Amino acid sequence: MNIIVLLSAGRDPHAGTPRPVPVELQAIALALRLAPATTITGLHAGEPDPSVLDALGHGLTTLTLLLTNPANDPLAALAAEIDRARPDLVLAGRRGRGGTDSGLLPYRLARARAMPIAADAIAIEPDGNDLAILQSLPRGARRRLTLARPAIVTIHEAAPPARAFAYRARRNGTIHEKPGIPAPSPTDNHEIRPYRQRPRLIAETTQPTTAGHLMLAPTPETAAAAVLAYVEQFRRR
Amino acid sequence: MIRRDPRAERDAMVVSRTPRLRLDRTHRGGTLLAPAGAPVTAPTPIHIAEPTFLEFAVIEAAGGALNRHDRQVIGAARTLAGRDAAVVVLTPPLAAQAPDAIGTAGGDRTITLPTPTYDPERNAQLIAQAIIDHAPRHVVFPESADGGDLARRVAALTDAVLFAGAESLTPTQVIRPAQAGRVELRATPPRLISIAPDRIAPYHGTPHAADPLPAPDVAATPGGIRAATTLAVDAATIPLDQAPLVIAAGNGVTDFAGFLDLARALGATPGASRVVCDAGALPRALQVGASGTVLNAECYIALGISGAPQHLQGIGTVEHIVAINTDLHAAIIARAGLAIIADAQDVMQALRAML
Ligand SMILES: Cc1cc2nc3c(=O)[nH]c(=O)nc-3n(C[C@H](O)[C@H](O)[C@H](O)COP(=O)(O)OP(=O)(O)OC[C@H]3O[C@@H](n4cnc5c(N)ncnc54)[C@H](O)[C@@H]3O)c2cc1C
Repeated sequence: MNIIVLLSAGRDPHAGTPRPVPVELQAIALALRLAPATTITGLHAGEPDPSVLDALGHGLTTLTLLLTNPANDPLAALAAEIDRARPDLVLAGRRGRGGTDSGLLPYRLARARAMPIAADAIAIEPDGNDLAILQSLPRGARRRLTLARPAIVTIHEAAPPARAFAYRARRNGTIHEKPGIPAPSPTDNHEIRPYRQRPRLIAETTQPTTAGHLMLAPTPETAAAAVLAYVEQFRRR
Repeated sequence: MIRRDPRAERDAMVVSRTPRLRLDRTHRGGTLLAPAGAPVTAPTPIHIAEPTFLEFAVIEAAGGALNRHDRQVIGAARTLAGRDAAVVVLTPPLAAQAPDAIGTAGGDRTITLPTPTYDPERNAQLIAQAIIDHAPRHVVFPESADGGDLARRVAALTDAVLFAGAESLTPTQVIRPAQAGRVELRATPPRLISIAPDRIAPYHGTPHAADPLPAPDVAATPGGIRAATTLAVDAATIPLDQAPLVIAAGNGVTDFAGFLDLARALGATPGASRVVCDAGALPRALQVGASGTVLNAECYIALGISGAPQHLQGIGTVEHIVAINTDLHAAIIARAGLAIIADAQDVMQALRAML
């Protein structure tokens, strides 16, 4: 199986220095369970950012760099490379960490290449001509999806851990540099400011909102029935 | 210098004179309350018949009922709509009692998306069509697992940018973090916005009247997601901070093997108070509270727990609490939606027998 792992220029949330995005490294680890390392390629459109090159130390052997201005829209360059390489599976993180961080690119790519997309995978297996994907949902729930090939799948943090960094592998990895397709990014006039922490809403439920129902010394059976009825009310959500 | 007139001040504070004199010393104005016993009438719902424009709120309504995040999404759309515009709530089919819930949450119209199974591709098509049909100014999504996925599908389908994970929202400005949470982006609200959980307040005003609108009409095209099944999870393996239903034992419980057996039978994740963990009766990992795990559960069952402040901190966001305690004056009783004054052991045995 031919797999492309999309890599983005990551930044450390505290220091702001280049650092790979953890879920993208988990995507590499997941790809290595599916296929031999020689069929897996990392793909990045932008500059040779140290955070992207470091992915070579985490199990990737080849990396394709589409050289464009990092401020450009990478969609056209990535779509053209996917057309050329014809992968069976494209993996991505669920969100970048260092750019706009909107998690929109995999979806735009899926739309541009008419590929199906599924989010938040923690396990992937080939299933005949399709892919069987295990999706992580909130509250520990899981969903199994069958996805037509070729497909784009984004990876969830609950996926198996990334491989440890190996400096020799990082040095020996192959890097193909190609010119990318310059394209202006979809302009939105954002104002950028340093992040300010805002309080979360919690006050709403710390006080009892409605007067509770009180049962004084019921028989154990009536009490148990009342508990079950109360729990069932909220169970199916 | 102005002289005070104590008589006039006192007269301004009078709330009622019968059956006894009542004064309002908080200076909220001297409106006369209806005398006790007068029938309390529910406020008439607000009806926006001819909206100046429309706002969309796309909710998840898992299990056919609105959750906290859904109400926040409708609240955000309500904020954007103001008084003259209508909020159209796009929802999967709701349980029977829920249309009322939409109006209470601030919605003026509902569009039910007729998608029987998990099919985000089809839902995105339907929403994109509804956007073409009704031309809303904004579409608000929840930034949850499935809600965020749907928002991005709609953004890709309509070729629009998504303002993902907004943490602050007013009619003129939205704010969200970017660059690994080191900066924030501010913009005038673009068309598609998804809001982070527990950031934007739900609507608490007078309920609105929610009328149904016809569902958008698009021919179904076969999608790339061929099949989907949700897998049953073992409640005991869910991390305590993610578990939807938690049953916890406190100092009033003596039979811990029976307690764990009951948790298994009920499909609930077991928890405990600190006293129980300190005594070694249950593992430390189960401790709920300030120095244990802070829960995000929907429903919490407290067996023989007094509800110390440090314990209540751990269940601050839980909406539905059942307390079983022999002490009517325990703090947890005041916090519970269902309080039962009984011996925990007896109720546990009766519950186990019923399952
Ligand atoms: C710094 C600090 C941090 C702390 N952090 C935590 C924390 O994270 N989590 C935590 O839980 N506590 C914490 N505590 C401890 C907390 O203050 C309480 O001591 C503890 O929560 C009490 O546990 P309890 O309700 O199980 O026990 P108790 O206070 O002893 O209450 C037992 C309750 O069971 C009832 N009862 C007795 N017999 C029966 C029966 N047969 N049937 C039914 N009910 C019965 C009693 O009426 C009583 O209400 C902390 C304390 C400190 C000082």
